[in-house]
Amino acid sequence: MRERLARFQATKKGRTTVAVVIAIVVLLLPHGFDDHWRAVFVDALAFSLLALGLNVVVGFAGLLDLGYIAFFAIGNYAFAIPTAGSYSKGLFLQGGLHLPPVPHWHDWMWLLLLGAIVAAMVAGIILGAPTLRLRGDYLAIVTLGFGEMVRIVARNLDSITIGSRGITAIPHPQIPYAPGHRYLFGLAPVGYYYVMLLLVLLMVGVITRVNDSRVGRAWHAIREDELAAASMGVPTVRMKLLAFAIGASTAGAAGMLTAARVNYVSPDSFTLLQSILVLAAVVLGGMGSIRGSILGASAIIIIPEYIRSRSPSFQDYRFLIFGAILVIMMIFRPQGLIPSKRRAIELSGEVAMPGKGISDGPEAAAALGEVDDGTP
Amino acid sequence: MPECLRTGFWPHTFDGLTLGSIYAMIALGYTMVYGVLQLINFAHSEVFMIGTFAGVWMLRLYGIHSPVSGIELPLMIAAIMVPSMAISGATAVALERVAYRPLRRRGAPRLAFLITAIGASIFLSNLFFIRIPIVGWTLGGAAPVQYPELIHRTAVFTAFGYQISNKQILVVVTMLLMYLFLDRFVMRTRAGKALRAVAEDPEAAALMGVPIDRVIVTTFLLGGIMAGAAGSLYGLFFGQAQFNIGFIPGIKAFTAAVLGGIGNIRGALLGGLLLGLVENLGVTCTSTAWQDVIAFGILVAVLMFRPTGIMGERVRA
Amino acid sequence: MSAPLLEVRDLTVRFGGITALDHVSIDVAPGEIVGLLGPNGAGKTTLFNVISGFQKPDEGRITLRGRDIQHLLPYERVAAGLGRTFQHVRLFANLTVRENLLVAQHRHLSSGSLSAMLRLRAWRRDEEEALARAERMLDLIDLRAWEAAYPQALSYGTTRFLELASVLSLNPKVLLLDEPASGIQQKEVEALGPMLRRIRDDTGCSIVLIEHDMSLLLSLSDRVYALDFGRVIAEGSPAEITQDPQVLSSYLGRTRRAHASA
Repeated sequence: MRERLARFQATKKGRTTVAVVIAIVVLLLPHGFDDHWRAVFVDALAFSLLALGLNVVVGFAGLLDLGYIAFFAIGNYAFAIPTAGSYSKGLFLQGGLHLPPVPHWHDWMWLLLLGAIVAAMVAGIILGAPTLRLRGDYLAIVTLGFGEMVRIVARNLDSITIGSRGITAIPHPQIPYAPGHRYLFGLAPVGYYYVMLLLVLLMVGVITRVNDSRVGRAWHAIREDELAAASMGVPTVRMKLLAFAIGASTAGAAGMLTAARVNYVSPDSFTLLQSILVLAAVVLGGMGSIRGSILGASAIIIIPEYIRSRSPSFQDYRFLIFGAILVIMMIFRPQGLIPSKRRAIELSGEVAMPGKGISDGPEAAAALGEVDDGTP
Repeated sequence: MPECLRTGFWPHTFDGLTLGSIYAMIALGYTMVYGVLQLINFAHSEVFMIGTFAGVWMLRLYGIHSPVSGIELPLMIAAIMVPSMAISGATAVALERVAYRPLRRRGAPRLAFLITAIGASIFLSNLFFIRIPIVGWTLGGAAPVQYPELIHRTAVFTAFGYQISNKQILVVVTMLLMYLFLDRFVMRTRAGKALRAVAEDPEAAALMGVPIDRVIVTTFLLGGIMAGAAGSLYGLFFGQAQFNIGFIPGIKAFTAAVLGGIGNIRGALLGGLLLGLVENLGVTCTSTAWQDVIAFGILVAVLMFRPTGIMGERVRA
Repeated sequence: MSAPLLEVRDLTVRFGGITALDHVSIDVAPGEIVGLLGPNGAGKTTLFNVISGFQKPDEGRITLRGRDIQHLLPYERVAAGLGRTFQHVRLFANLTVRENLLVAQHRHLSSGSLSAMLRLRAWRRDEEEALARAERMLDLIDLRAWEAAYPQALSYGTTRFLELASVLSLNPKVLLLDEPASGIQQKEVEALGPMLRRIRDDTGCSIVLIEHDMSLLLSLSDRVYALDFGRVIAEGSPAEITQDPQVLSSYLGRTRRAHASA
């Protein structure tokens, strides 16, 4: 039975059938559950968006970004600061800079989304431009530091972000669809679900296509051997920056919509652990795998929530488990649950590259009595 | 000199040196592992965290509730620090065995090491947060675990109008002793020479018959011992242990290691002290809320403008 | 001699206390094949690393086609007309032979991520052009049958030719070849000489060659620089170099002894 199913899936008709079934399930999903679970699904989609973005950075370009959640934070604040009423901000404000909310912002809903995307992208470029010249492992620690800095700055800039008390009463978005008519999102998660779904699909399309171009090939070359990529004329810094910018802007979009749904932004939601959670989603699904990222993200949001609904104390064990998942996956299944074909070979480290590893190059050179030249 | 520095200069200098000594001791572990494996061992901050817990466990074991004095005090401090160093050292070695060695065997790419390191860090930290099922007890818990006061804080002497306490002297002197021990070990012993050989060129060292695995274990052990000493001193000084206590000192210590030139043992010492100083003096001109931002800012600036650190790297490019 | 295409002046590189390059100056004229000769550790590969931008020199100046390339990043130097191969072949192990060649087409293509996202005609044209170029190279090195294979399936000699083909895809004006004959079979070595000459004749590029196969180096080069201890100790035609007493004592003598014992 199982075998027949696998064979059916391999045919073109089979693939279409599977895709249609998944599409129907995903489209109807909110209707089979209550608002609590619908909200969980929206979170899963937001998290999928984050994972998709981080996958471009980690999975495609091979750069470890440990401060990724900072871009999500920027997306959140980019929506919260201009829209939150002075009611919320004035409440705690004592002097300092006071930003009044933008009037009639509802008419500019999509512009605000674009603004969040651009803000996060700019932050990505500001962080990336100087740091992407660094060695890979230094980048990890610099991004970690950046993530913490964004959080601390958000906590300290009382007059703009209301510090650790957070911005409350962010209004729900409304989309004008005809003159004088607006779709009000309100508290119910359904509307957000479909908007977020649309965004995820859009992002999947964008990322798949970009990856299938000279940019995608350049990313692959860079993650495998940056030096060789540069000597093949690949503009390494610019390509890495592009990956960073795409990743950051995806997180910005997810952040804007999340702020709009939750109506509350606090710097404490953007800790290192959150960055690790996104990383765990990417690693679990399979680095470099788009389907894997979505599945990993959904699993990391939905499964713990399900267990928590049965045994509330589970919440405490989440990060213990995610930490263990990262280690175990790297040791036993580095390619992830739904591996990208390429990364499967690559991450196992089993491909011995002539002249790259200890195994091959020096032997060939030793035959001619030559060791590395010039380096003492 | 700006006004803010003039008033608080000396107190903050001494506080900075004390904190910097802790950073330096942790930084030694980062720098040695990096020198040998070219790996940022993110989980090293958790080895330090475990050191802070080991200290409080020892105090409880000995049933200490009030400060001790006289000859008893140094003996007691040693009786707390030595087991803490052993526990942290064992943790670091276990970490290498369980998490990193399988990856090394496979020749996994560097990204895999970094992800494992960060995963191990989160795992260890949360191990001290959770309540262990079935038995129902916890290694640490959400709230900080308080150290009973072992050392009664007294001023030993006054310098520049600032009273230097016995605790501060303890931290700085222990750090210097540990550093001297480490320096001797690396420079004079056979194992130390092997360690330097592997840091210089692992392939050549392996060809020369240097047992790489043993050298790597030694490196983790030494780093763990240093972190254990730093952890228990930190506990004795600040009086707390907590599951997430390693994060900030960990990233600061890494900054210190980079500042001094990663892979460079002397650099880690200087980097730690310098970072402690700059951070504390920086705080006098801003506020403690910005203390961590200062350190991260330094990290980014050093990596950007002088990635080899002040003392220069001792690692292959 | 016409104005040099590549001009290296007073290049100095120090590693700690060791001087790997000591005021090295070389010139390469258009269409010239220049050989670099020297014992192990003479600084030949370091010189390549500095010219291609992977190693910062402590002193010195490099100009390519009259343009100062000192401050360019490695890939910018590729755009300026520099191509290099490595002493140990560096290919992308997880890309197929054809994909390896596709990576090398990057700089000939112009469509950005936006046109890829929107599947604009620019993207399609680029993809087609890249494929056509890669396939021309595949034919050139006779690897059509292996286009879907991974480099590890090829012999070491074949990977060298693949690397060479990738670099040629960059349309370099100056080609730096670091021991192209090392580690490959004798038959392939014999094919290499005429091939390099043909590359020079067809594309008009200059070649700088590091090679330990003396007969290959001497037969191929128009001019030879001899390096030792990071210094240029002699320069001249292959015939002159083999007569130079300093070169004889520092290099050729050693090779002969090595050959005798082998």
